[in-house]
Amino acid sequence: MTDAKILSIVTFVYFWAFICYLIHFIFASRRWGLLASWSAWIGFFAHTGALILRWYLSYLLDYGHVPIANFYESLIFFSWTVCGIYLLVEMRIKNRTLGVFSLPLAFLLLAYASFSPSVDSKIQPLIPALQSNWLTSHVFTCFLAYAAFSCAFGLGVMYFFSEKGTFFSRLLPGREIIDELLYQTVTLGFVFLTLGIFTGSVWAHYAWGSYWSWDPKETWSLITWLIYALFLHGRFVRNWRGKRSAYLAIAGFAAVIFTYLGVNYLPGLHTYLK
Amino acid sequence: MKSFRSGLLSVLSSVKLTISLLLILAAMGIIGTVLPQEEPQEVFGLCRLLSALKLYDVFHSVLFYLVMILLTLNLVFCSISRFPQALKRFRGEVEGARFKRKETLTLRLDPDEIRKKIHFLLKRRRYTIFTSPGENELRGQKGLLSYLGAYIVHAGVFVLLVGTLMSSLLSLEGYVNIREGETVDHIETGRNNPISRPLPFQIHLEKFTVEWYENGMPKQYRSDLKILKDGKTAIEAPLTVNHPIVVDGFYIYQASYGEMPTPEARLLIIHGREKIGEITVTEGKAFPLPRDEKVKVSVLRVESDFMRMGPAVKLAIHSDGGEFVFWVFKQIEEIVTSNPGILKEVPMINPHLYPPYTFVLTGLKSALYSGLQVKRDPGAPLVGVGAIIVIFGLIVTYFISPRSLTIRWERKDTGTEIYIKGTAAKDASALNRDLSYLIGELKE
Repeated sequence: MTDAKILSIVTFVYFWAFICYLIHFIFASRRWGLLASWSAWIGFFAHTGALILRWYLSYLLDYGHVPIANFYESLIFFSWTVCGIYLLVEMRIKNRTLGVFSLPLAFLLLAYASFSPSVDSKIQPLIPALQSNWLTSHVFTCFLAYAAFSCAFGLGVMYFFSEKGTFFSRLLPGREIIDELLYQTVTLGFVFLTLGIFTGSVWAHYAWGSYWSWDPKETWSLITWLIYALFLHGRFVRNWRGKRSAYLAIAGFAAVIFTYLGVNYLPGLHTYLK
Repeated sequence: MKSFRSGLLSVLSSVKLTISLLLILAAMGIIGTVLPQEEPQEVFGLCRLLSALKLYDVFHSVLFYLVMILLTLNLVFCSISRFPQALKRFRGEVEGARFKRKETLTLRLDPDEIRKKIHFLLKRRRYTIFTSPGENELRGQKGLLSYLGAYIVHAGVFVLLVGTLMSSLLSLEGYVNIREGETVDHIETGRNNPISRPLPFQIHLEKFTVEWYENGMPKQYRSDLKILKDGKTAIEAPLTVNHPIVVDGFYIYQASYGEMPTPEARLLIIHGREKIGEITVTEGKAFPLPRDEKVKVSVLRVESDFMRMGPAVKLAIHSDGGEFVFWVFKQIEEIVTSNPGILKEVPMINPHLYPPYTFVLTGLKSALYSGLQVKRDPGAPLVGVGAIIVIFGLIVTYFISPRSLTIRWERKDTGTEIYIKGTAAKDASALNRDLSYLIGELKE
């Protein structure tokens, strides 16, 4: 069994887990909640196994690199971090509502990677620019940040549905809890994004001859960073909470998506994803 | 005057300014990526306005520098005005409590023993112990550095910004294309108007190699370089992508490679219908015409693409019958087919101008060159130091939770009654852990 085959099965497992989370959410059923968590964990373990297998296979091909070097690999890795960070949050807060937002994202990313004909799943060797020890730390930190921000986005959307007296509000955790969690996930993402930008900078210093060259991906990662910096400053100094925080979390995630996908349509140095 | 100064100070230290500047910076980032950062050839209408605002080069515009300087000032003034309060918290003088918990328990131990035990337990949990005025009270605090975290981050950002300013003012960056066997001692700097700048050393390229994977993707670009100082080899090392060579503060990078025409060309000489042979000719040199050695042929020019008609060589034949100057094009057949009769109209491009000889340009000699980027950036180390400070500050801010435990005890008839008050600024769970630990150990 190849890694790609396992991943296409994991895609369905994530979809199934999403359905379970949804049923758990709507009917407040504990049994479905447990089933949802179990499914997500099983999917996550298989996903991890597939990534390790792919890593191992790249060594058999004599390329030998962490599977984060092309568009396909970035999608499956992003999906992995989304699921992983979600499960971490679920363990911490012992509430499964966010699964309704995070699992479909993990599913969609993986489905796009597995089933889109335009995404090549072949293991490819590393071109000279990517042959660096900074590749792993840079990509790892960036995608952990993206995943944390995706959780914050889900929580931001959730916040708008949690207005008292509505149909959803009875199913959702309290507004303060959502707000606090939103803040915590943004914090986590912000620290990782900062690390991602800095590791990228060090790498660029060695590979491109400049720690910052206003390449569109660099610029957009800075825009994303500024939006979340705004979130944190507003919160600490002006006590922005609730709706304002939720809006910023949503805007921030839009910037994340543009940083990840949108800049591929602009000319620049980060063209490895094509 | 004084009110103006205080007004300016209050603006510079306001968070409103921070928020506006962050938004403006984000907007400039969007412009800088969505609008092509290259000035259009014809500047009129809207383009003229954009050009006047330097929006075709946002990140080097006066506006951008202004925003960055304001942001730096804002950061410094904000931090200074808020720092004293944070320092008080750091010293444990003021408590920033969000979570509070109180516990009471009674133990059959005498106060001295309790004091010792609590002291020991707090130390073990790495609390800093503050001696309080009361004999029967102990206060321990932990993670207070977190209160200074934001200021550490700001200090780091400040160092980083100063570093980037130094980079943009003091860095020297240039490119040089170098052929195998060639030695260079200067680089071309500036994008639009290249200026040649001397280097304090010489770069000699021994060999350039490109390796490929089986599937055709590039595997490695490698320049075997020798760095010479005063004619002596100082460094001899291979240069590859991701592994720059450092000499005297200059970083040398493998940036590109390509083919570069050389001043050499291959000419086939035909006498009547007989091919006499193919020879290599060099621009600026002359060769004797085969079969008529008294006649000299000078190679005036070797061009890789002359008048958009492809490679060409300009020859001058000096014979008794006079001087014949003409161009030999590699693609002469295509030129003649698409422009019938051109040879008669423009005899200058007739390769048969000196009969019975015909000259055929079979090709230009080209050589691989290695494109090197050379850069000296005195700001870079400072940016690195700033980045490390920022990361340290972020970790201190978000992953350390300040908490404090105040323990008071009183002798009662039933034993010693202990009151514990715990407060935490961010994370209630860490406080709860410490509290349960303390109570559990005390009860034993």
